Amino acid sequence: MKRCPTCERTYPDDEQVFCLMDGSVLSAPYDPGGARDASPKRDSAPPPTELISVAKESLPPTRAATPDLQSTIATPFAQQPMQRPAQPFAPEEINEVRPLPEIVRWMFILRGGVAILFGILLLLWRAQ
Amino acid sequence: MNNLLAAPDCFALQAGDYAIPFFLIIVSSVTAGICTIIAGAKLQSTYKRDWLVIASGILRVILVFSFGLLALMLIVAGAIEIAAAIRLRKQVNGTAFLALAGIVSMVFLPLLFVVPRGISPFELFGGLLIIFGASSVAFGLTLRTSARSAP
Repeated sequence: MKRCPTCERTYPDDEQVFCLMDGSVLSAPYDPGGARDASPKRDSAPPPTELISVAKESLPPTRAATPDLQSTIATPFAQQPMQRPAQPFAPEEINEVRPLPEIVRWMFILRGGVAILFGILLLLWRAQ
Repeated sequence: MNNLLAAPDCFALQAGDYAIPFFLIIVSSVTAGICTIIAGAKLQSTYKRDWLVIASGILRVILVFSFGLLALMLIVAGAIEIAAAIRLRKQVNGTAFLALAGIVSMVFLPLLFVVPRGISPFELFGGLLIIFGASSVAFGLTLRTSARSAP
């Protein structure tokens, strides 16, 4: 047996698809005795609210903000300087590979030679 | 005690008596100072860190004309050269001789008070000047770019 959802008429022939009065598509086979009772009832009631008492005990008590704390919104934005990426070698080891000027050597040799000469002269003056 | 007091007094004697040693000391110090300034300037332009050598040379040029400060100048200049040798040890080889020259400069004043009375301060200065010169020559001969910083 089928039932029309529009006019609520029932038809005993299960092979019939459309309602003869309004042309609506007939529903599934209709069981007026207990077909609806056999299907499980849906529980449309919302679940009961549960109070979590454990979390309430573990949370620290709410404290008022101390006056010395500053709002992060009011803090001016500080521009951070861009940092150069780390180099695998120390800069001084890279830059200081320049050859030593020859004049440096000769200046120290000249300084030493003059010092030796005048040192000898000082000793000779004493010997006189 | 008399030796301690008498040794520095040699510089207070008449200039005419000691004109020659004074002249020798002045010329040697000025020459050493000028050479040190030139070498320090070249080192500064090369390594950007050796202003200490320049300072040592300037001290040797300027303060040699004040004999009252000569010994103190030598101590300061010697200390500066030792510091320069320490700073340059990673860049060049042979800085031990530069440090030795600085040590020789520094020991002049302490040795003035401990040398026997028979040795004049000029002899002491001359002897130390020879050692200082030998150290400088050795530093100049061994001075080259350190192998650690060579390309």
